Amino acid sequence: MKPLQEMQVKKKDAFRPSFTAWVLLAELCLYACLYFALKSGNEPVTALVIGMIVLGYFGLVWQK
Amino acid sequence: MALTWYNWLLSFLPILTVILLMLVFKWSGRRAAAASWLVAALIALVAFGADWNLLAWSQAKAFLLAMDILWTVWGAITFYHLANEAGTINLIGDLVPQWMKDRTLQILMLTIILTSFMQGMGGFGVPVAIGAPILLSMGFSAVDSVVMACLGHAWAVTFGTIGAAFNALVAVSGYSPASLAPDSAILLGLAILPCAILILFISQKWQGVRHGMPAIILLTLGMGLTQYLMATAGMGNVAVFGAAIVGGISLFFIRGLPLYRPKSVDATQRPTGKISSRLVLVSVSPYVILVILGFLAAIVPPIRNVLESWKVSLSFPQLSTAYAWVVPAGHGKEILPLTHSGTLTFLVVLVGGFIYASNGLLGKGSPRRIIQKSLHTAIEPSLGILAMVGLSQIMLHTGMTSILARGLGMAFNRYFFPAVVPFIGMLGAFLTGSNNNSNVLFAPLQLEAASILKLSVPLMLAAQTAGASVGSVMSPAKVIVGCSTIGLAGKESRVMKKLLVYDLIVVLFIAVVATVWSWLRGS
Repeated sequence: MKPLQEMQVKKKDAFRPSFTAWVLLAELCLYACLYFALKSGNEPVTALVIGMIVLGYFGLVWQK
Repeated sequence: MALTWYNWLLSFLPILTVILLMLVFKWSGRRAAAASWLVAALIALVAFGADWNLLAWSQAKAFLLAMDILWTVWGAITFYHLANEAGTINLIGDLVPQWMKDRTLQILMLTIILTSFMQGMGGFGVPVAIGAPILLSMGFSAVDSVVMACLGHAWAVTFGTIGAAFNALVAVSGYSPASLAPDSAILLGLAILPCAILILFISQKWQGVRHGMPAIILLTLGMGLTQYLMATAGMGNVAVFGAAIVGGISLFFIRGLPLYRPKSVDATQRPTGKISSRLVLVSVSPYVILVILGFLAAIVPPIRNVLESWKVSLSFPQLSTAYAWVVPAGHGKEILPLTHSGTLTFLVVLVGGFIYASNGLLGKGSPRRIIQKSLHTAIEPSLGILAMVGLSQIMLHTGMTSILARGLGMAFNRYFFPAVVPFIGMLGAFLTGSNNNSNVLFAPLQLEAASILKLSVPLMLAAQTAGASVGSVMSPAKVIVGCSTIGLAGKESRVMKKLLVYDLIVVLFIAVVATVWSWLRGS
């Protein structure tokens, strides 16, 4: 029988909750901005938002 | 976009990437999903005539869909951590053996009944996120706990989640609920049989299957019949609820059968002391409140109408590729914040937290721990879901999804097409993580193919939604959620490997039944 608490978050896990959670929240806000940037038709702003989303996303996914 | 071998293989490449990276290279769900998203985006740009603008709009749509899913997932994760902090998960793990001495019946209770009941309310990984930790606390391995919880409600997705997937099938096909419900309810009801057999095989091997067979047959008949009667009587949105309740009551009668009366103490069960009924009542009260709120919001029309008056919806322009694949303009996913299962779950977390705290089940540092653990647990599934939903939207907006389904459909003649239909449904659900989305994607295509091949349309649509129901539980997006509450975050490949085999067996069972049924009907 494995105590449930032991199966929970382990220290060696990759994520640091506070920092990563904030970055994820910022990423979600950027996604929301994407819609309005596309609606406005402003291409440089849209490209900037897309770039930040992609960088932020892959940064989050591949962080150690 | 023309259907050629080359296009079909390119369309299949993103799916193949997810499968290979997770199963062969043992990548975590979030990384495999992100890499596959990249592959789909490159194929869309290079071979399917997409431009940056189309890709960006598809991701804006995907964000709306993902938020709808994530709100539910975050609620379920917070609810789980609240229950775990208060000791409720372990308490339920202790209570079930007291109520039901037979180990086989305990397993059926926690998988086929409990997870299906949860699916009736929430969905999207909630049954696994809540059910798997209870199985773990009863001594099963983490991987087996997730696989068993997934299989437990695989049959219940179409008529679960307040019938959302069935309503989508009705909406996109244009057929009435009365004409689609009978075949769908029968196919999904029959699927309980292989799901239950496989669960007992995983947990107790053939000995458990033999011992549990009478109970499995009685449950399949009782729950399948209840689902059929409720669905055909116009109560499809609560058919899984009804079936799970009847299943639970049936199991209490089944435990009285001579076969299941305790003969000796099972050494695999942990000894438990006497648990006070007040503690039980306080501990399960949030679950009861969740059920009552779910019912009130979904079933009582005046309440539903008031709560559904606030909607979040965004408009999207018409989009087309260079190869004239057109996605018409329209509104994206409509979100109903006040009746959303995520909102209800967060409300229950607040009320349940107050009840637990006022009864001394939560300590001073509990709220902080619950929030921290919830944030930590939610990151992995959030990243995985964002990528998988984004991937499915790229494929949908460039015609890759349609090419995949058309290719599968044209490869078989009318006698064997019914066998392919559930696999197409499964494919859609695997990609999008949703029975609902699979029906929206593929039901019109299945309908068209069934009409051309002169097959029964209600039966083919039933096979579509049954395949999607079973397929949805093994989608990477859902598996990531299921693994998040059980310490398997980042190790989803271990679950996927096992679940894929068992899930395909259930889809194969549905394919065989649909094919034989189609032959017998002469359609």
